[in-house]
Amino acid sequence: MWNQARQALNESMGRLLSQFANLLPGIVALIVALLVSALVAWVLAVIVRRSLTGIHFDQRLAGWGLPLAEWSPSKSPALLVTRVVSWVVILIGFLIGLASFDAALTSQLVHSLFAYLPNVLGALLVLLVGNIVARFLARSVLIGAVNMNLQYARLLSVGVKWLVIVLAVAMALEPP
Amino acid sequence: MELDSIPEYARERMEQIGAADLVVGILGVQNGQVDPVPMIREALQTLPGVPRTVVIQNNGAPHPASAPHPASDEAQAADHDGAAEPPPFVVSWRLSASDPLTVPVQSTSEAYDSIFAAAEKLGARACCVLASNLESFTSRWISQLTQPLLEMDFDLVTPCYAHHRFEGLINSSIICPLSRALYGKRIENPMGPDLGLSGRLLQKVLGTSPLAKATGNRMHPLVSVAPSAIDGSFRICESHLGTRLYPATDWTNLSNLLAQILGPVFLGMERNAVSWQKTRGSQPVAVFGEPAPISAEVGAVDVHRMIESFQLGTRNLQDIWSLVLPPASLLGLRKLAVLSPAQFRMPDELWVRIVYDFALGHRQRAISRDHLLRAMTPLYLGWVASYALELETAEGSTVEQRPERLALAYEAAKPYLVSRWRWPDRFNP
Repeated sequence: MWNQARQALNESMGRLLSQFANLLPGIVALIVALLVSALVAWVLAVIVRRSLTGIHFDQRLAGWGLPLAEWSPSKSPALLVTRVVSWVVILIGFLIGLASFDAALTSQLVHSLFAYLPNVLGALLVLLVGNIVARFLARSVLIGAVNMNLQYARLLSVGVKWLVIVLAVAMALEPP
Repeated sequence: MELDSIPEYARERMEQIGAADLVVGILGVQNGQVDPVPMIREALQTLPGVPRTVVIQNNGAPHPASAPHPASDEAQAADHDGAAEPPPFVVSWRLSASDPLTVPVQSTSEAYDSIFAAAEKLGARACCVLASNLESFTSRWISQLTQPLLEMDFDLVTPCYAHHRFEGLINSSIICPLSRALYGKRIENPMGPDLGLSGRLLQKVLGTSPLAKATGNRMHPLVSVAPSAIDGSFRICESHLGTRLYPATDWTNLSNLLAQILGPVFLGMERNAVSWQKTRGSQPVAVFGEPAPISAEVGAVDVHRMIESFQLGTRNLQDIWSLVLPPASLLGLRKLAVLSPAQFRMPDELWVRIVYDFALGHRQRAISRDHLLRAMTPLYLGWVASYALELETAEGSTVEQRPERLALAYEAAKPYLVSRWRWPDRFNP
């Protein structure tokens, strides 16, 4: 009986090692893909950041009244864009690495992501435009209300801003 | 483009007239009670050589004297050669949609452009525009604005008005001292609205001179007249016209007025940046006529409401003001907001820097230009309140000297403007 137990254990260990051995190339490929994508992301990040700094991207956005600074790390939209680019490259590297395990799984995942991408982009665009309009209208209302000597000027301005934002979110969430 | 705004019948009438020595444009809407033509006729009597004059009236319906009657025109021309009484030719059309005293500056720019274009078409040696209330001006105004052009070869005649201490405050607080500091000429009312221009200056303002066409320099007429004259080394003078009836200030609509006046002024600063940066100090211009004393009448100014508006602006508009004003100015404003009305005094240096910083913000488009100019309204009201409290019980000489003190503050702070204009990146609030 002890021999049978030992044999069963050896067999299961063998299967485990066999499966691990089958997965090992995939794991190595994933790690390599992540390392390479991280390197490419770092290089791209440096290029993008220098380019955006060179064209005074942060100052231009502030001048156009776009609200990205509030959502950006260190109030720098250039840094936000740089990090988005880096993480997109790393994500692509991850998906490539994932393909080494099961190409069909990756293919299905990518296919469903890309199928939904236009909806996501459209919603983001609606949110962005809505936010810009909300801030512009809020500022107009604030200045107008102050010039009319209304004590609740700021409340009115915040109300208008959130009304427009809620409308934009509702439009963004609306199914296509 | 300006001739296109003149109706067909008016253009035909001008073609019949052919040429003129003097064109007088009346922007005040005819209400049937005051006919300026007899006043103009009376004024022409004082001018030597009896200039051939065309009067352009702001009127929807053609003036009775403006109807095209070739036979009567010939008779008039014959009389003109021999008789003592010159007939001004009258041409009427709707220059502006409504009374220019109540419409904003920009909508009267088309009226000025039309009159200037008509004067240029007629080859006039001089053009005089009267935009004030018809009931306030006299034949003396017309003489005072045209004599220097026709007899003394001046190119620009600007008005000096007698008014009470709280009238014309936008001009007193911003337009006049800013223009003086920028362009180096002490002109009391650089934006008129009643002006006299020579044919030479008209060409420059209209942008019909070859240089103006080549550079594409074409600005709002009221804003561009004085800078164009100074830049082109034209001869400038002022004439004392007497008392002017200022339109009642609509304090509830002040932000519109500020935006419509200061917008073109700040744009003009951008266009003329090359010339005003080189100017240092200021020189007086020739003055004609006897000055009338500033009226002892104080006028009604609701100081408390203005201080409240200023305080409300300080509480709510800090985020917007911080985009254009440096921390020192913001601190000064916060300190001012907590003062009692008795102590409420805005230093000239603070006010001048605010105006300069807003001009810079307008140029840099820190925020929407319309928002920027409207956000200046509480600051302007703060200045008016401070000014009113200071001069409430002041004597006549103090009141007369007050604008000079402010103008000197503008001149003293000009290096600040120049350095920030040239190197905006060195300091950004």
